[in-house]
Amino acid sequence: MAKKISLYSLLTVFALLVSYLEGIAFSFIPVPAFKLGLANCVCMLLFSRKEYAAAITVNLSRILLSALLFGNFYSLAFSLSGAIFSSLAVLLLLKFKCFSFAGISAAGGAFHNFGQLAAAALLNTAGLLYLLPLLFLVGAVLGFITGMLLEAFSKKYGNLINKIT
Amino acid sequence: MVKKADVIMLICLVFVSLLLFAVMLLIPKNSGDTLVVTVDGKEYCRLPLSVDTEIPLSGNTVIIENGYAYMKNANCPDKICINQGKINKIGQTVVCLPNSVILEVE
Repeated sequence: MAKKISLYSLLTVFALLVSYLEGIAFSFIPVPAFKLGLANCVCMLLFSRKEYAAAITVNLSRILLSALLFGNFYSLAFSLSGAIFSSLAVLLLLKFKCFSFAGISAAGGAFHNFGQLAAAALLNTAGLLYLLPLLFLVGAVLGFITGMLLEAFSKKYGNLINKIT
Repeated sequence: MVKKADVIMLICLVFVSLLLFAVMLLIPKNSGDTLVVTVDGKEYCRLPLSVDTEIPLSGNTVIIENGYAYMKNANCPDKICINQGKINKIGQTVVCLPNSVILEVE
């Protein structure tokens, strides 16, 4: 149990740090939500290893901490809605064995942005919906890149992860 | 390794987004005549787009000029609202999330 708690907290901190650094690194691009979404690698990897409780715990903790530290109510709502949609897409695609992380993550990215916009449309105004095509495209392409990175990572360090968990 | 199914998935997603682009383009947009400024979820003011003016807010400056509205200044770090450009069609918005300011044309 203690091992699990420390592992989950480590993963949460890792995801939090990565998403923060990424936010800074891509802040010069004037497209909202232009992020690789590397933090979601953690969640996706855990989902693929059928560690559902861990995936949800780590992702929820990251979202809550991130909103408390850097965001506000709106960013919390956007992230939560994005996470729900992308997690559903990822979980569904994991059922099919024909995809690697690249394809799964592409759908995850696209639906993450879809979820964020859905929340935005509910909270503010439907006017934001005109961003949907762009964000859907950006999410798919960046998600694909993220997925390729995760695929390479899990190939190389899969044994190590097995040992830790 | 990227599998064939991954590439097909990506192509499908890109296709969907292109379809969405097309749908957005097909929806006709009419020029609006009123700018609604919302701050912190509450309506702050409504102004006609036909009168040039400047609206100072705590963190942003909104300009109405030649029938278009845009964000001139913002103290937020990302400046996304400034880069969203000028709006004059019904339903178009400029959003500054950090300061929770929304401009919408009606």
